[in-house]
Amino acid sequence: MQYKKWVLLIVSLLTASIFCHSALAMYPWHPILVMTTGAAFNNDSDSKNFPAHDNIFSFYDYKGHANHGQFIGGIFVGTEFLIQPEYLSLQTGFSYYQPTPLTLAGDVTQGVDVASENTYSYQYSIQSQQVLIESKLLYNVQRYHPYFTAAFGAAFNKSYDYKVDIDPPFTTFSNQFKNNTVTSLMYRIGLGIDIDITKQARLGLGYRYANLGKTETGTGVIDTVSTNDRLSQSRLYTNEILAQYTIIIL
Amino acid sequence: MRYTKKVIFIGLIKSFMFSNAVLALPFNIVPNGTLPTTVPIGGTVSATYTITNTTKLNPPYNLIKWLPLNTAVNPSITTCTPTNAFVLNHGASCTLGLTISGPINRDDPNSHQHLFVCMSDQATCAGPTPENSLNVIQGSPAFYVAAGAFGENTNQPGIARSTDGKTWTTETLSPPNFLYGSFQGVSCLNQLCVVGGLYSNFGSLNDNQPGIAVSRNAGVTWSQQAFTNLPTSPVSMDSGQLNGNDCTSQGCVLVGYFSSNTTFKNYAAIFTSTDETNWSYQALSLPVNVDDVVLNGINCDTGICVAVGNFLDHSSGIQHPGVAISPDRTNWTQIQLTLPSGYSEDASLNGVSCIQNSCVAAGNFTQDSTFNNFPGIVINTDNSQTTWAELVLSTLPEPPGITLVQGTLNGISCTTTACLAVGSYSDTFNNFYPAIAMSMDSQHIVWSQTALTELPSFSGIPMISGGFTGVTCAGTFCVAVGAYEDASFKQYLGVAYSMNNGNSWTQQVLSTAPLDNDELLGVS
Repeated sequence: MQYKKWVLLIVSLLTASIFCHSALAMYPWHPILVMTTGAAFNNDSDSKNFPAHDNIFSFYDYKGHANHGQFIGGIFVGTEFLIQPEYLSLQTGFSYYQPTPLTLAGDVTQGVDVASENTYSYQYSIQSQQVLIESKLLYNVQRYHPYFTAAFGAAFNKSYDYKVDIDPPFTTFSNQFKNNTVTSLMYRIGLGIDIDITKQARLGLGYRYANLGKTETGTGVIDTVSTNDRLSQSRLYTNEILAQYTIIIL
Repeated sequence: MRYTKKVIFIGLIKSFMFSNAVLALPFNIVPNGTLPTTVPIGGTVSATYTITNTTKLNPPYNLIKWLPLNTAVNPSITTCTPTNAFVLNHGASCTLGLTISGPINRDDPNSHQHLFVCMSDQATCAGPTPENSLNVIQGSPAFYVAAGAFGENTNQPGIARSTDGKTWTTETLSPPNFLYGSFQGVSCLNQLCVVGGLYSNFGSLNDNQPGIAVSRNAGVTWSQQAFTNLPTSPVSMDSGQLNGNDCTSQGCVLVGYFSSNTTFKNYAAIFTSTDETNWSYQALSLPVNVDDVVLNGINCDTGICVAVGNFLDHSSGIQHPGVAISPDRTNWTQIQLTLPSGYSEDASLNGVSCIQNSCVAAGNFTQDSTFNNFPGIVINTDNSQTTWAELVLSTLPEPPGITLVQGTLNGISCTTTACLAVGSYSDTFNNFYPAIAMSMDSQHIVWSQTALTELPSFSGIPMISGGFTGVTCAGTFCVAVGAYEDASFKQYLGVAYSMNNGNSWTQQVLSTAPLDNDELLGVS
């Protein structure tokens, strides 16, 4: 299934790219390079309850904390077409974004029953790498270019380095989740404004909303006992404030 | 909502009942009485815990899943039995008795070296809190055993025993079906002590037969075994003796050499046992371009056994230092080492000590220009013990009024903080003095040397000569053994101890009357 999803994604990206470029070939165009940096904010929290069962007598109840901030950087390589000279431009191309690792933290309450339960803090990291086909529609008013942008592609979301703080140490065991990478379809939409600083360079500021798709840790191990438990988020969302520097190759 | 009013109420009750944060775990594990904090080397101490099932669950069974390092269940006081499947219903308690034979670090990062009690799912587990966990350091040994030969003309195997390294008792053993005997390599582990040496009927080298003595009560009583059925491979062996010995939790390994009257050569002898009753032994084939191999010392503390000795180079006829290495105690690799520049005459390695993947061997090198012996140190520079660096301690101490011209090191003991080698120096009048060489740097490149020129007396008889043959250190307390000689060339047992890592020594002469020419050749 994973393989088929990938083939579909790549074919879609290539088809869309070729179609855009073919359709717009009649318009004046310039190659462009856009470098992006900014802050991404995540308000997601993971909650999961693994009840006790015949093989594991303890329950494990995970409650994640919300509000995380990250830096994000990216690069876009593509073409800008003047589809309505003086008014409208369209940028289309490929982009790559990588935020700094997102640290998800929370508390796990575990025990056989209320009398034996304890709460420990846990944390793990998520590293998302994003490959997208991206378009930006700009409205040109003298040196100002307000725009709307949309992108879709693939996010490689790696969950790793799970740690649980057993405090006091060595008083019990808890799930230790393995590293895992999930490949998800993702999209990013946003708006902003670019401003000419020279004929060949623009500075911009924008907002993006990104849905990075699913994240999931590997399965857990409680000391020497393997479990099928995983911490996951069906959708990882970020709100991003981005600064962009666009180079237009005339 | 998961947290019901009942849960909140119980939480509040917990908060009010206990001023400190209460740790709720499936098992409550508390010590009965005060936990031990030190364990003597070679000795054991006890600890007892009460384990209570704090849950409302009656698991099919429970188990002691993990124990701290150097800890074993004491079945005589344990009621949580069998420890791998004991029943403990909710609210019930049982007793776990532990016997501790070595150091325990309660901060050990390996969770499998901590006490954990688990339910039958093996995942619902609890350990004692840090303040209730064992944290034991190793103290001084519970006893010391030294071995040697008592009586010059009527050599008999002899044992010296001490419980504190300061006061000693001696015992002469009767060789089993032999007239003579001599013990050399000593190694003790817990209450077990193993000594290697030789037995003989005629007192000549080609008559020696390897011998082993075993004590299972810290050197109080001994059983001896002579080995007369010697290997026939790689050639038929006719005699032999054991010089070095090391016992670890994997068993004992003794090394020495076999001699063949057919080839007139010596071959490395390896004796191994895991029960100290049944011994396997073999003679190693001579390495290429080596005519003769004698092994003098061994250490297996790093998991790899490293034996050291002398290898006679075929081309030059010069005796080189050599090592024999085995990862499994069965298959051995023998390596003849080169000689340092300026010291290309006969050399010897007499003892080795390993700690934390680093081995340091002690012996001597002979200077080309003077043919004098100088203390030598050989240090492994890789974790597989195949690469070695050599160091000649060519600057001998200069005690007032005495000119030392030669020196050799016979034994070495390394701890995590220092390596201490002992041996003897000799002056221009061929008087011998105990030699101390100490290194405290992590690479063991910097050595300081001391000659003990102020020798003890025995019943008013001053000793004029002496030397050490073996040393053992635990922490900063070291015990060295050897021999002293008076003006009439009568030889006495010598023992010495240092309480400050070898910086200063208290020496004494032991009487073994009626035998009068005695020496101690090893200590553990």
